[in-house]
Amino acid sequence: MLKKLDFGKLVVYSALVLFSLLYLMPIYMTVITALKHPANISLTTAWQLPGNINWGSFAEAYNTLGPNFMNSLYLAVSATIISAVIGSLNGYVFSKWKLPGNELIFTLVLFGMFIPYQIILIPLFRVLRQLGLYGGIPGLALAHIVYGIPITSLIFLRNSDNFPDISKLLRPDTGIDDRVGPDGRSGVLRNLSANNTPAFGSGVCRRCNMAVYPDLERIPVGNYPDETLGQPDNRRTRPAGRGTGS
Amino acid sequence: MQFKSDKIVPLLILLPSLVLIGIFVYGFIGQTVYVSLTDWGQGAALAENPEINLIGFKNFGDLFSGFLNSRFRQDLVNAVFYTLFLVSGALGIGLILAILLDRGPKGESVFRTIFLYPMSLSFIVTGTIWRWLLAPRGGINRLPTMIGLPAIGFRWLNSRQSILNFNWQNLPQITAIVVGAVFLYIAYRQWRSRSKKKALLSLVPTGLLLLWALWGARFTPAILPTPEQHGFNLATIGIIITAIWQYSGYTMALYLAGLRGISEDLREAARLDGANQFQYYLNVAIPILKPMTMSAIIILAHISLKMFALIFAMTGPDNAETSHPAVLMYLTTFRANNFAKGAAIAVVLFLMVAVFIVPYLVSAYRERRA
Repeated sequence: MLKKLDFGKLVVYSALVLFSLLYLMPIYMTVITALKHPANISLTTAWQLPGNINWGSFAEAYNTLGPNFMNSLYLAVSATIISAVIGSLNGYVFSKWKLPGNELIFTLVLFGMFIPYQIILIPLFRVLRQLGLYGGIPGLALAHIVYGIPITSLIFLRNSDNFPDISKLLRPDTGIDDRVGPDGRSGVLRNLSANNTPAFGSGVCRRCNMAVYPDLERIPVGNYPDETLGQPDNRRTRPAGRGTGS
Repeated sequence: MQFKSDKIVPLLILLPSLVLIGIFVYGFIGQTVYVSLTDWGQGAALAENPEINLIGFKNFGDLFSGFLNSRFRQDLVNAVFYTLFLVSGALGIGLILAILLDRGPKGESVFRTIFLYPMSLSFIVTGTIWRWLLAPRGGINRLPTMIGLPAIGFRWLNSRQSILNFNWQNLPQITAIVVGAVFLYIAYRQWRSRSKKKALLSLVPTGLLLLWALWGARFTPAILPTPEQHGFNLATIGIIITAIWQYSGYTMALYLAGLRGISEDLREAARLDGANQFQYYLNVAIPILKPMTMSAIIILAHISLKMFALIFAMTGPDNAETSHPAVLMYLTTFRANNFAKGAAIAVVLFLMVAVFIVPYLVSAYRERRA
């Protein structure tokens, strides 16, 4: 029995190590090539470690890449922040204010995430040229912001679905305890922080990170079982007063 | 007042996005479709007021059966193979990795990071690294020499070989047989679920399609004047490997989340019923993972149909062997200034993506409404 177990483990570990080597191979090649002197780089010795380490290529790359890198930074920062702000507003509205045709509008917005960009390239080129934005960072940023709206809206919608509806909690007609308790907090506040905030807080942080790396959240549109990636609701069963936010 | 602001505020918040999406997505799609129906680009395309005439579906006809557009047809075939192999490769390897990690090995998080990091790289970076690894006389081809074996001679990115060739002239018949087979399957399913009337109804298109493909086709004119061979270009294998390397970590993460979501009770029940590990994964776990598989197929298929940067970085825009309609659209539009034909290619690409995306969005929409 023991032998059989060990054999199974051996197979699992050797497969994992083998796959890891395969996945790391390109990084190994990139790093050792970067550290070689340009004169020593050849196809036949590509796999060998560098004889003496040369950092000079990094300085050269920095000089070539520097100005372009700033462009990337301007584009990424401006497009990410503006897209995320717009998406967060949209996500909240889609989740909490049920307008007539809410789901249909959301689906139509979401469609923008999946289109092959070739289908909008020609009109985009014309419009940017007419606006005088063609060939510059503002034009690129505009395109990234607009085509970023669907994915950021989706991310923040999934996030907002786990929010407690604050407007309902604060309305007197919902019958929520509004008296100030012995700890100096109102019932509403106690409810919010004790029951919901842990789930709430960690959810917000995690998904805000997702908004910054939209490609990662491209993954899920809907089919995750709740136990694995959605916030499980069982946190709400915590005794009141113990959860103090995160 | 309360009622009104309840509707107006959210509408005002949404309005800018809706206007932007309306113009930049739907308006632009409409305009591209319009351009694809014109002759813009045959004359002075970039003139201040270019002369543009509506010519109907002529551009599409040219693409599929025009004498000069064989590159588009090969690109289309390439796109199908890219999609087929990227999806099946990434699903298969992702599932294997997920099952290995589901066994709870030590250092699981390290392994998980190793398999997932390629996804964080851009196609340009990945493409540049792998082009170096797949060089004919270096990289992977030299690996066997490290243990004394002869080097591999395969040309991963510039092989001229092509397999699974078929004659484009036979495409209508092939399509008719495939669609007929689908209807036959539908009829079979309906027969099994005891709706015999519907089954008989489904047999009608099956019969018509097969009848035409096997007998009637000889009376219809050929779509091309001469035979034209298209197939799976072996030079695309290098790009497919790179794309699988980049995206199998994503399917791994998806499947692992699914496997971890299976309750311990179910696993225990399978064990009590005498299922070994292999049977557990085959008969219990994999069927449960079906929704993940569907998501992954849709995401990966739409990525491979949009693949531009990876091909551009690995073999450049001018390598017809590994080309893709997305690359050809760029060349046709912005290098040849043939806007109308470029738009037509874009519309074909868009319809191919829509085949995957629209049913998915419709089902997601129904789910949200429910």
